[in-house]
Amino acid sequence: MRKTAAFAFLMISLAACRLEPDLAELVQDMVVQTQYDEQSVTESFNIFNTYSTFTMRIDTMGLVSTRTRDTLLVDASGQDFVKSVTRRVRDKVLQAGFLPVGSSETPDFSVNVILLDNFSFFQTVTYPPYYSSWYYGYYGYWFPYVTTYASSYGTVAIEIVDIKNYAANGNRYKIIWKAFIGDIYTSVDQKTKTLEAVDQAFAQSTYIRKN
Amino acid sequence: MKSLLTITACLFFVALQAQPADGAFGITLNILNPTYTDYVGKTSTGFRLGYTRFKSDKFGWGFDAAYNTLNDYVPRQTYEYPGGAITTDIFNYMYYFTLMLNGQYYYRPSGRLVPYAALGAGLSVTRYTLFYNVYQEGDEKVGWALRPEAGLVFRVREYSALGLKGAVSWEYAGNKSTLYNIDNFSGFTVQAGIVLFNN
Repeated sequence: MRKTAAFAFLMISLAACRLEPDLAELVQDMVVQTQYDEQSVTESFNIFNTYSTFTMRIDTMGLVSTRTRDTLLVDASGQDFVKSVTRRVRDKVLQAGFLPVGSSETPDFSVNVILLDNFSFFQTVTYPPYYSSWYYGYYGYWFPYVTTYASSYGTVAIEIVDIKNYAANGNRYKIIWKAFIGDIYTSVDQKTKTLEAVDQAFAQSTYIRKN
Repeated sequence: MKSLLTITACLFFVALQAQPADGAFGITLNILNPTYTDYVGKTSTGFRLGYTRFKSDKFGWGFDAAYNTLNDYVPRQTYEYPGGAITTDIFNYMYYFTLMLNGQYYYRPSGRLVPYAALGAGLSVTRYTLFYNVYQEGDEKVGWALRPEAGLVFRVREYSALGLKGAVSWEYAGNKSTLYNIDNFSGFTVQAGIVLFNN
């Protein structure tokens, strides 16, 4: 009996030696996930061909956090992370052939850049296909609906929200495209890797273009 | 150094117990080289522990448990799926545990060098884990496993309690994951270790 118990104990001890990859190797590059609305982008139809103008706020990000009630993120003195990322996103949309306009000039779509702080989208966030109309104009952002599960991850979310077809969509703002980039907190070079990830998000979404 | 001396002393002590044995414990390194490499392809070194009960000069039966962690690296690439795409590199890990009953046949009933053949069958518990950036996801499968094996046991002296063991085996496990489109696992194993005969 003692031999059997010792044997079982030894095996459990060995099994407990769970090897995992080295964190430094894991976080060399960020994960980039993109999703598009399958009704808006099909083989025969691309809603981006119907768009011409967009609006977005640069130099600030929306903030959804489990740690703070703040809803805006700006660069601290001497930093340029928010500014660099939002401007890179805007440049990508411009390169796709769309024109920037003010939010009062009836843009066809809005581009939102939001930091999801202290939880992981890739595991836990529930993302609705629409925003309720009352969110419109709330600091210029349309925030995602997130679960309360917390983990110490940070994700940059980029959204393209349909404004042009607000009425046709039942007075709701439909999310046409979204990208998630993470984890930004463990990155070896937060700004550079985030900018690379923004480039990748648009590179793997070739349907975002104005023909 | 002190530990090494202690281990050496223990082995010397059991080697002095020169009597016929009715059973044996074995602990070996378990070097597993996958032949099904769609998920993991690198050779892994793990452990195997077993106990054998000798029923006659020719036959024995026993059980063993083995544990290996296999892994592989998938370079950064873009995976497209309906409605989207994801770009990442992935570290595929496979935590593989088997618990088997086995029957053994000894080609020579006595002597210091005993070749044998064995067939084991039992349970496999496999945890597939995909690590990408700080995120991870996985699937766990419990299934069957089969392992034919051939090897040699070398007793340090005739009837000594200490023996050395070397063996090769092939194993096949029913642990496919439909979630990740991973088929049943198979691989070759090389074992090297010690056997402690008990009386």
